[in-house]
Amino acid sequence: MYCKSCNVYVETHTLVCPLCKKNLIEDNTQEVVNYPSIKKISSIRKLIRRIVLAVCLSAIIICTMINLLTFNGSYWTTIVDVGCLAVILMFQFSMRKWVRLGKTLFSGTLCIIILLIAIDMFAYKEKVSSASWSLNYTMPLILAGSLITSTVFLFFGDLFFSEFYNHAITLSVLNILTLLRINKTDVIWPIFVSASLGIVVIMMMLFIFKEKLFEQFKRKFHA
Amino acid sequence: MENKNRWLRLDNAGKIFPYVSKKNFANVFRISFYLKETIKPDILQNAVDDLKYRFPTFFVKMRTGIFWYYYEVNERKFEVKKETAFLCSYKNKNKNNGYLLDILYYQNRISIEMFHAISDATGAIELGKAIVYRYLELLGYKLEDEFNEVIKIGSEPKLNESVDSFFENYNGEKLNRFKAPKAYLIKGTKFFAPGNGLVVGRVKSDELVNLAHKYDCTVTQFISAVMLRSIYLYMKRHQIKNTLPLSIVLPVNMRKYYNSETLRNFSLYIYLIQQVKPNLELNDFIESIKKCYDEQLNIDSLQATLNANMQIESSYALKLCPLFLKMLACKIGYNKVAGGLSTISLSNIGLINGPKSLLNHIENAEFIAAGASTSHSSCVISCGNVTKISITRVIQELDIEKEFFSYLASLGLEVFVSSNLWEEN
Repeated sequence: MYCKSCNVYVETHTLVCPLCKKNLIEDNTQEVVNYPSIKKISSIRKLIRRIVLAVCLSAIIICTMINLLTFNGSYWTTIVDVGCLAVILMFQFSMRKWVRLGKTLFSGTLCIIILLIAIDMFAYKEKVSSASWSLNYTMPLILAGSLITSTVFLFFGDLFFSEFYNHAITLSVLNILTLLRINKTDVIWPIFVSASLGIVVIMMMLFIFKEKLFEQFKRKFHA
Repeated sequence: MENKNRWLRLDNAGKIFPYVSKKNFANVFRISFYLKETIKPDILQNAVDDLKYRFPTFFVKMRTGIFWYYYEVNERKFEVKKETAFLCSYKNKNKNNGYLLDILYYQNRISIEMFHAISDATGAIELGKAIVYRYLELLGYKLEDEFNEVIKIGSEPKLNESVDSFFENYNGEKLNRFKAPKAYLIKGTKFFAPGNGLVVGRVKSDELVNLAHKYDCTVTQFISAVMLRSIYLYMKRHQIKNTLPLSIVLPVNMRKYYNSETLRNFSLYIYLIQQVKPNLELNDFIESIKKCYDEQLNIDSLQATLNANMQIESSYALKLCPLFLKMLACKIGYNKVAGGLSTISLSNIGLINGPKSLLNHIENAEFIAAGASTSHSSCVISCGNVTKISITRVIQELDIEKEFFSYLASLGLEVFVSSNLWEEN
């Protein structure tokens, strides 16, 4: 095709000139499909994400309204709100596939911890330490479970070590920090499990993975 | 990048890109090779797998440090992909298994799309030639490379290929560098579908060279002059009142000035500036461009720019500044300062060299850069007797492209135009 107005030959499959948008004259120029055209991709992932977001936001709004309208001294809606936000955040991270596995695991753990703290703060009108299952049992054991998972990946070679070592260290510190609750609860065995696991992993990092760890710090600090 | 110590600092030019890149300012370019037959994806995948470890500076993932980003060798699977309509799309470091480049196929075309933080077009061409060479070998063609012009499977990565040549050639002297003035920026209607509009013009190389010689200038100077003229006429036609000069930012391949073999970034920029006056003709533009060449395209001026860039990187204040603060500062600073210094960018990679046995299988090549949020991007590449000039844009209006290609045609060149028709989406 040829454009009389621009004096150029047009190789793209089109009836009008891509430059001036005037009609083309047929000639012997070979037309080729140069570039792929936009196809509407039915993004199921996007749709699911939107549905989850809509459901969670609706739940937050409805529960908050009910809580405020029938207020009896307890902000129980906080559990729903934090839970829904945790679902949204976890969903957001888990959609990113393997490349952010370490981050996904870490952020998921943090979301659950925040949810557990919210449950502890708002679920019981009268605080009974043994009834506070969320912080007494679940939090230390979730932290321990997450730390074990992160630590296992450290043995899978350099590729996973560089992705998991910082999460393993942070989770170890969080596990050790559960000791701060030792005076606030009668149930101390989960705290001991969690804290001792944190110490073991830190020791393991310092003795088994010392060189790798030093190398990673060198990179992080550009030393 | 040795196996034992597999990490790499970003080079001086590459350091800025991760901070300023975003979806509508991707800093991604594409080099395409058009072969004489349809691409077989499985063979292409094998060719890439074979060469992945020969090019350790390309197949990396970017990691976040405390003060800077850095690269690590990426051991995840690299997959070649079929091209989509979104050319030179933003390379998210958390997608594509962490790789910052894509190797794409479409019909008879193999393309390499690369985030500029990894390398410049010269480096990408070397990777592209190696992939095409290996691909043809795997197809069963017997290729000969007498002068070792292509990097091949089996050879070890050289240290010279992964050095930061900016750092190597920094001499610490404080020199007066050229400071570009604020330039006129082309405004227009943004596309409905986010992406890059592309128009490519194909001309015969010998005809273009003869035409440039007729005006007593080089091909790059000639194309730059025609480009500036097109923008000038666009302003005139639309009666745009503007006192700012028109400016083309032109990357300069520094390898030939410093005898460098690096496959990483080693380009600097010069600015071709034209003050807006009434009744400018093509020769006026050529004269202005030649003057800019004389002022800026010499080793002293380039060394001054290199030193100034390195001095910024070497300052203790910047070194000790945490990464998130650097990101914030760069995002604000870059848009305010560097974003408004050029009306258009023009990058001429020149003629693709290689063994005859390889070039015989390549019909032509294409070089495209993602359009910047504030300006058009144009690229030139030659292969055999075919020169392709691409212009990418982020606005719907095609006035500059129309003016540019129709003027080339009016000067006697036979211009074949193709487009991705993005404005129709």
